[in-house]
Amino acid sequence: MTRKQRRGTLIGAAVVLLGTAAILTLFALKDSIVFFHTPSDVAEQKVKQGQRIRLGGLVAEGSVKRGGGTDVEFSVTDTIKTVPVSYRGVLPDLFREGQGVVAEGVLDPSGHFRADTVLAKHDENYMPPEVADALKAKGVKLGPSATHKPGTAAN
Amino acid sequence: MIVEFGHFALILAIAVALFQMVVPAVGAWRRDVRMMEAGGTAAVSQFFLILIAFTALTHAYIVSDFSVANVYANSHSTKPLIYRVSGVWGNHEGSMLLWVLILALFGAAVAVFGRNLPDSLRANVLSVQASIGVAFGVFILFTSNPFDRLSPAPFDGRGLNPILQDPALAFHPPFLYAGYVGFSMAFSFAIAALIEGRTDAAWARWVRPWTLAAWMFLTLGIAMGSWWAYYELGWGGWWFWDPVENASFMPWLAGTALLHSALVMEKRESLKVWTILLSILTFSLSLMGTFLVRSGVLTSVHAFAVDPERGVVILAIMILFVGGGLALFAMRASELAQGGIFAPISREGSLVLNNILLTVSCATVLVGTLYPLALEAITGEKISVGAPFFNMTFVPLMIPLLIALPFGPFLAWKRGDLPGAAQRLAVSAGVALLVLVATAAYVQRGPWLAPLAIALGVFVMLGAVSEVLYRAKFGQVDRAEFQRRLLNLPRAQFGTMLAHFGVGMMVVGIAATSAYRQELILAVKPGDRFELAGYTMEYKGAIAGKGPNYEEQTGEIAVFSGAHQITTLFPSKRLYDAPPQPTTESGILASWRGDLYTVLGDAQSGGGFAIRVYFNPLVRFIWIGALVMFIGGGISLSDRRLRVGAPVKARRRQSAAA
Amino acid sequence: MPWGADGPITPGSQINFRHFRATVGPDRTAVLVFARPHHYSTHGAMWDQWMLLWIGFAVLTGGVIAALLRPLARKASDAVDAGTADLGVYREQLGAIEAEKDRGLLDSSEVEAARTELARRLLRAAESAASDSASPPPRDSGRSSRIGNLTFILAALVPLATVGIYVTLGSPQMAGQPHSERLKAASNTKSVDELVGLVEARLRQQPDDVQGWEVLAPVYVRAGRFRDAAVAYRNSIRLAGETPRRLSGLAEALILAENGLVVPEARGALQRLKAIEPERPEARFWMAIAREQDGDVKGAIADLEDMLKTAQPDASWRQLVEGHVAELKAKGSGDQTAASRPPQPMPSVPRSEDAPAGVTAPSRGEGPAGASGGGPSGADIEAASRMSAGERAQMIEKMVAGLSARLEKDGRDLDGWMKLVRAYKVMGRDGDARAAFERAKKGLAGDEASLKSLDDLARSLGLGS
Repeated sequence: MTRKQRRGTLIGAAVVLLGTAAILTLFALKDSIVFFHTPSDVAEQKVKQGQRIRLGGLVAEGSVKRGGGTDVEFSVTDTIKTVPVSYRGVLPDLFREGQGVVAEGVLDPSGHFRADTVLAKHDENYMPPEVADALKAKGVKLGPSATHKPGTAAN
Repeated sequence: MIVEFGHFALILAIAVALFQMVVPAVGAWRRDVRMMEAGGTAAVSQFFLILIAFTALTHAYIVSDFSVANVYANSHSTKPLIYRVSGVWGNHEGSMLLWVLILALFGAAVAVFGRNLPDSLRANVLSVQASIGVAFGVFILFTSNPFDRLSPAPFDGRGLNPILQDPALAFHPPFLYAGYVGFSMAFSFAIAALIEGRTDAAWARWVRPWTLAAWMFLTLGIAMGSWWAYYELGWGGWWFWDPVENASFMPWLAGTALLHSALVMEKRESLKVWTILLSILTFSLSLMGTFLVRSGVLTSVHAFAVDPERGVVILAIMILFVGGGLALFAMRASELAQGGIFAPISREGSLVLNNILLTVSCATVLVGTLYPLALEAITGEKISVGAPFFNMTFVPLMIPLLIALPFGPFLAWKRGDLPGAAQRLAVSAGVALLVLVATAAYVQRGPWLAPLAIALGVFVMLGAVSEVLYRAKFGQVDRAEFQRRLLNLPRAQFGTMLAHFGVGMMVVGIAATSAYRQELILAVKPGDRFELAGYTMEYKGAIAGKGPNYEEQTGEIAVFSGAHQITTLFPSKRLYDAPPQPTTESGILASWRGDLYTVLGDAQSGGGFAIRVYFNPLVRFIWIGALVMFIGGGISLSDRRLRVGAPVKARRRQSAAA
Repeated sequence: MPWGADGPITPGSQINFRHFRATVGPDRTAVLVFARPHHYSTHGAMWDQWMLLWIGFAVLTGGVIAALLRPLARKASDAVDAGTADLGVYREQLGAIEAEKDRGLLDSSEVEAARTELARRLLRAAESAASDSASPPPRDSGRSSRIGNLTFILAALVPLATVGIYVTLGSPQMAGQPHSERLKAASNTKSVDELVGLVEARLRQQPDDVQGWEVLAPVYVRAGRFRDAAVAYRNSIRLAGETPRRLSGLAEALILAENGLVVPEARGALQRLKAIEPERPEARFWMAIAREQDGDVKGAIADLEDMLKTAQPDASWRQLVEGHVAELKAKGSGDQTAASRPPQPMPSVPRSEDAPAGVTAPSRGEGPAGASGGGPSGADIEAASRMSAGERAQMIEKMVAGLSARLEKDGRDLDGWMKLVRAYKVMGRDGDARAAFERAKKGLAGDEASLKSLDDLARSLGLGS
């Protein structure tokens, strides 16, 4: 086999594989990405029912109700609008009223958010950037523990 | 005073790195041997100076000197000694210092062990290595100086995030960094080769062991991080396709490809251009990993110490080196000589296939990781890309790779015999098929792909073993002869076998855990009994207790198999003092069959606790597989043919002859 | 030589300087001998440190520069050029092939193919090696001296740049401050107050420093500054949220500040504490006391007895609670002698570590009940015996204050008054003793027998009347 043919084979194989990967990627991006929304977005009906989203904001003060067993109800707020959330399972360690939270799940027709995942952070000083940005965009002032102070370098 | 001495040593080290960046390069250009030599002593001094700085910082942590801002922010006087030490790299500043320490260590290693390299290549490598050191050194000094002082000194520190106070995590960053930074060697060699416009045979010989070492450390580092996440985060999962995880996984994929293409380059002087490009890309991905982790531009559950401002500086450094490297590549690559030719079906061909699949899969991970960033920049929409994306893109690319993997070593260089290889793999394939049928019949649930994936893992494992057996002519010669041949096999052959065997184990573990995991979430009161995966458990109650720097609630769960009690698990929730933060400690019963994994949840209003119980079948195979890969790499590295200093003798012999 | 020039030496440090000149040789060991100043003034010692630091810098820099320039001092040797290095590699590979053939790992056709290919590469490398050595690099003296100059200039820049950057970034005047040494220094000078002052100063600048409040709160309790302690606990709760420890600390500080009265805010804190950790002994104990103060003595006794019932047999607060139950029962039956317990903090779970070590001199063990969720520190006497003199004095003072306050309300307790007067006398507070004596006389007015005993006591103590 000549050098040219050899190179042709190689490039052919590479192109076929890359093409396959690109097609897979495009399909996957269409189907499996999850959009991030704030409670205000939900109130403005930007979110379709049944669509899987991530809902981010603060856990509303006084909203956490632990039902029987492992059912939990709480509200996520961006201080302008509030969305009730129900979740079945064990909450992450740093889940606390007044703290940032990201819940992933589906909005049901009654405007109730059914979360199947509630995201935890490892670091108390860490605010999920989307939540921080979204809250900032809504003009919410963040407390000293919510944002990272430059120069103090928490872990 | 020791702190100030360390600070001074760090600054001196960066000045020396500057010297090392310029002098040997000029020497190589002017062909002045003495200047080239000066690069070597500079590299060694630079390493010792950074070692002094690192030791000084570690000392400050050990004695809890809170006049050092970094110690104040990340340590506490009540912390156990081991976490005071690991606290050194458990934060941004200290971890960057560790980063440059490892970088300087690799540079010093070239200076000490690289005497058999052509002088100009060695000089250029040292110069490139030093330039990385200068960039990161200046970054440390002016944006993240670990030696900043506080006056008056606070009385006590703010403590290390308790979730990081863990033995596995104490050693995870050093291994990970040794991996990341190890790829800087490949990068420096690639740039040096491009500067000189030629690659030597010595090039691949040299790049290979260093890449192998970096790959080993990265493998173990990633595995440790995953293991830690598994038992410490209390989610029962071991991999989340989180950006920070991907950031370490991408250099691993590219590094694995590099390891294989460098093999072709050494044996056959083929794929030179590709190997050099891959060297640049692998290190670029390492830099990107550092950037992603340190800047916090991507949402990650593992984000610690994020600081966008400093992230920008790392981004600038990354652009400088990646951009510079790729530009140099574009200019000079065509000047590199062509290598030997081979048929598509050959050892080389299989390694090329390996490379294409690995780099393409690496690209899909890259897309999935960076897509949210790009989309937000363009449309302002915030999205997250999670496991479903990677299951749809990455996993399908791994399947052909795993099928092809056992064939590769059976193919001869230049021209291979595919039917012959298939014949030699027939037994392995047959056993794998049996496993497929048996698994499907035994579990009768879960995705149809899972038994297939498990069978594939078994095929890879057996294929790796049968290659060694074939080389030793198992069954073709008598026992004594077989033993003799087996012992005579080069060690690298066993290394390859183990590494591939480890891959197979991981595949089995991943498939079984992902598909057949069982989960139970319930609220329990003392005396409640429940069952999962053949175990009966009884919740006995919760006890309050306290540790050196935390208070905890510990659940007591007795585990029975039949009527016989096997063990008692103690999952707990801890509340640390400094900083005040709750953590979860899982209680795990590990066995070969799988892990019984229990987590204590919230206290219930009516008494009792919510608990979660998982059964993760064969989950241990994942980490043991990684460990086997690590050991395989180590055995390969110990092979005389890869050993670094070996050719010195050859040089002496040949200069005597000349 | 100009070692001295490394640091600005002023006339004031003449002795040190002379000492140094006499001792230090050009080698490092001599410097290190000097590094242990024995009897200089504090100022002198600091000065030594400073100078030592710069000497260390000079030695380090000198060593590094020497290392950098060493290759230049050597005679130029031949470079290993690329072609020659390649030859070595290929020869080795050829050797490896032979070895594998000998071990029977390669068959002859494979060996042949590999050999042919290697031979071709060897030939190529040999050619290039020959051409390399045929054209040796020009090494005219002018050029190499220029190169030498460049190297020297760069080598000279190394210390200049380092010192320049260090002077801007470093803090050479600051000594290391290991935690243990600071504690030692603090306990040597017995300046808990100084330390507290330090932390307070810091908190004035950074009122949001949780750590500071956390450190101060228990120290305040020990110093009897209960109101300050309550403020500190309130602040740490505000900044870092409620934890059982902070809530119980707040409640106890409030209670002690009011001489044992369970005030509404303390009740609130105890209730929240109970919600978080229902079994917390502090919560149960003080809630029972609150009941008692509401007039429900029976209820209080029932609560405390319930607490004893569920307690581990070796719980170290058992004695305290039992004592209190006995007191309450005695009170119910009208026996006044037993009811004289001043308020004191519930020996609580985490006390031993929630204050910085060293400020709290007593190094209490974990307590016998480490696993029961409460490692209360044992009976009061035992605790007192382990306390430092200062702390014991504080504890006595607290008891005395409590006693005095109680007598203020109930002035007809002769034993109490006698105890108080004696205590003041023992503490050397004669004025207070006299004042108490006068108050006692008023309280016991009309009770001649008691007044007589009081007078006797006063005389025996030399207070006069």
